Amino acid sequence: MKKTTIKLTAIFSLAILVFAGCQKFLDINPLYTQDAENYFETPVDYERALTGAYDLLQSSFITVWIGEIASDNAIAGGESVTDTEGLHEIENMSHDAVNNEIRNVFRWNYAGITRANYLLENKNKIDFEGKDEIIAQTEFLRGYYYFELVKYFGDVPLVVDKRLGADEVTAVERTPKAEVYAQIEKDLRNAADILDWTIPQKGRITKGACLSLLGKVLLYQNKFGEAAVILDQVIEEGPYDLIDDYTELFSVANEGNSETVFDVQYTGAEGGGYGCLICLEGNAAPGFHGIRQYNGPIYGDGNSYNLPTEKLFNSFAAGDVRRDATVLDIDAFIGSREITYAEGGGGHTGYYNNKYIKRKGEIGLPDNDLTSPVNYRVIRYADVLLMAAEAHNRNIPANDSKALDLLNKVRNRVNMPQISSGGSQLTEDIWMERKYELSGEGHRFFDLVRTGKAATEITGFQTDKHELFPIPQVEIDLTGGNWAQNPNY
Amino acid sequence: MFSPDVSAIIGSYGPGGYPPIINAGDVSNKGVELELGYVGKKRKDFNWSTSLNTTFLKNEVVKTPDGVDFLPGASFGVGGNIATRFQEGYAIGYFIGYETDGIFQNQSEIDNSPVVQEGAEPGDLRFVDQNNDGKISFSDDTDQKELGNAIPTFTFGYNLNMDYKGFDFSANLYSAIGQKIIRNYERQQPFANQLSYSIDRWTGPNSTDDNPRLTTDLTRNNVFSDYYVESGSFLRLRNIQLGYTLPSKLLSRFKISSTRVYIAANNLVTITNYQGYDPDVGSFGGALAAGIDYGFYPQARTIMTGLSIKF
Repeated sequence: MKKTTIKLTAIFSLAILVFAGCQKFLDINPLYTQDAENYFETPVDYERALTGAYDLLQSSFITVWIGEIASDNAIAGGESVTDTEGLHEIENMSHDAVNNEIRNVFRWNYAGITRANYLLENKNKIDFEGKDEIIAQTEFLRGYYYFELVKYFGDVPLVVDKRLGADEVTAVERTPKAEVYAQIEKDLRNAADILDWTIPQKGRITKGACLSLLGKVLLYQNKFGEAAVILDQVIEEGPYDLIDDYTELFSVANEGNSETVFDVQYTGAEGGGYGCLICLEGNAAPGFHGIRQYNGPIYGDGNSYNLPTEKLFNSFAAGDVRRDATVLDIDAFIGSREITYAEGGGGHTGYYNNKYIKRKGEIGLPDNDLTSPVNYRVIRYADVLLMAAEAHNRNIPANDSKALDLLNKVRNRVNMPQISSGGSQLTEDIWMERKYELSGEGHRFFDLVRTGKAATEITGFQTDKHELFPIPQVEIDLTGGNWAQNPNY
Repeated sequence: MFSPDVSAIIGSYGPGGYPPIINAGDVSNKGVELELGYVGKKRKDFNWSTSLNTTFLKNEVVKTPDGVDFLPGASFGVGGNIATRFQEGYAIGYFIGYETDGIFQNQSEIDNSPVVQEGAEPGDLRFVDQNNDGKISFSDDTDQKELGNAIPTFTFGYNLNMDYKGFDFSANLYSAIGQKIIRNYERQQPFANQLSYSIDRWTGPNSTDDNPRLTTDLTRNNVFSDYYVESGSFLRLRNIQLGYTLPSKLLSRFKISSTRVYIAANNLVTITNYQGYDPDVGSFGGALAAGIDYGFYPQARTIMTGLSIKF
């Protein structure tokens, strides 16, 4: 009897405890249920959202490929012509609206834009010290991603400061390029007003990055006067200088040197696989550019993609150190040494991209074809100087003496003779200098299109068609089929 | 449940991101299943039984999500385009691609063809212009058609068991008829192995109308077409076994209650026209990848002998 009473009491007490406990638990907000609507409650939320927006910069490897392969600088290469077929079609100018690589460009840049928009949509939720800098960097990133899209596709849907639901996309139209450019300029100017020339954390956007990209965006619209003012500001006020040795520009050891205006940061400390290239924290380009089945010193073996052409190799003037720094002539390099390698079935030129290539000592975790720690140099100071030279030369009235001064700065660094031309000859000289200075870095195709040279330099290039890439057909379908395709695709 | 393709401008295609998972729609399966069994009349020392089961199935997608014409499925080739779909009115994961009509034998055939096929050279597959607009369109699906699906029209299994005195025998047959397989394991590159049919490839005018030229150049021969679709019908002897149980009195003095020796074989015989290793490919990655042969390791043919002793 006594026993039973104790038992009952125990059960009863336990029940009270449990019920009381339940009520208490039910009252609090559950942990770990942060979602899109209750985000941006603390400064850390903003920091993380910004990191997410930065993340898509690591898609830059695809522009290193397409910017070179679409131009006269490089062929696709690789294991076979059906391996990453999209790049082979781009090489041959036979690409159409079904192309996985072009679709990747479209998808990844919109992913970056969406992440930036999500942060900017919520920019007024709380206030804290440092928020303005976060907003500014986000605006820069949105501007950068939109500029990539405009370079590839021309008119693209402009979505600003909001997210789209699946049911809203069919109402979205392609926005005229000029309006997209206006938004890009606005974002970059806002960002430049806030940010400093130097920021302690490596890889963060600086005022110099904002102004240099703005200068580039203006140049792409032939707004030479405005571009000259902006780029001059970078040159006069910025902390930049050319480094002495051009051949040292692209090593991991030299990252963050005085010529760095804007780099995309990569790390080899995280592994990765082919299943998701955009998930990588390393740079996929150097391994893809590597020498197939290579066995020897200095370099690592890779996939033999994005192979420079003989035309590019032969275009350099005698004694220009930039030739060998840009293009690796494999047979000359091997000479009489015991080095073996294989030619890929996707094409072989005998040349490799020597700026972004897998090197011993710069190898990431497995699969190390994909995880190179080498940063992508989006904007170098030399590029700023050449853009400024072009802006001054093409502006009305032109300032050719200024342009010559800037151009010769770039040539002095590599001990090339001074140029003293003027007018349209100087324009040509500046454009050629861009080729010598920047080949292998993903700028060539867009420069050729921008300067009207593409049809004469690129085999198979059709005027009024290939200036733009086609909008992926599936993207047109998925938004209800309302978008007109780019001309002649 | 599916995570369908959504427009890029929704922004879900960054690292760690993926589109929302939604209900993919409705699928109807209609069919008949039959099973017949028979146990033979008991006779002195001889017993036998047999059973036969068969399934007839028609699978059809009857609904896709609002605003979605189809959900893209698995891709073909390395970095290639979509070859299967989930679409109303068709079987789940049906194959869609180009229909071929032989091989272009010479340049004049290409020049005189009423249908423009961009990039074609002698020795290349000739595609059929499904929408009769005078050209083969590779940038959309207007010239693509249904090329079959991976679902058998019917399957049957057959079991037979017999024993006579100490001997026992059993066999299991399985057959699936009417399904198709996508050959998706060939690569056009130097030093890559090729299937033996490559010996009969196109080598010059009128050499063959079946297999295109072999080249590492960029061609359209490797876009997904019925050239890569084969009948996957097969009949397989999954298991056959013959055993003999020793008379128990012989061994009882060793305190052994029963001893049986047997010989058995799995997958001893497979009758099929499929060129790949194994027509029983199943699916590697969901219903929309069914019937795609990525070069699976085939099911082994095993032959076993054994001795089973019970104390």
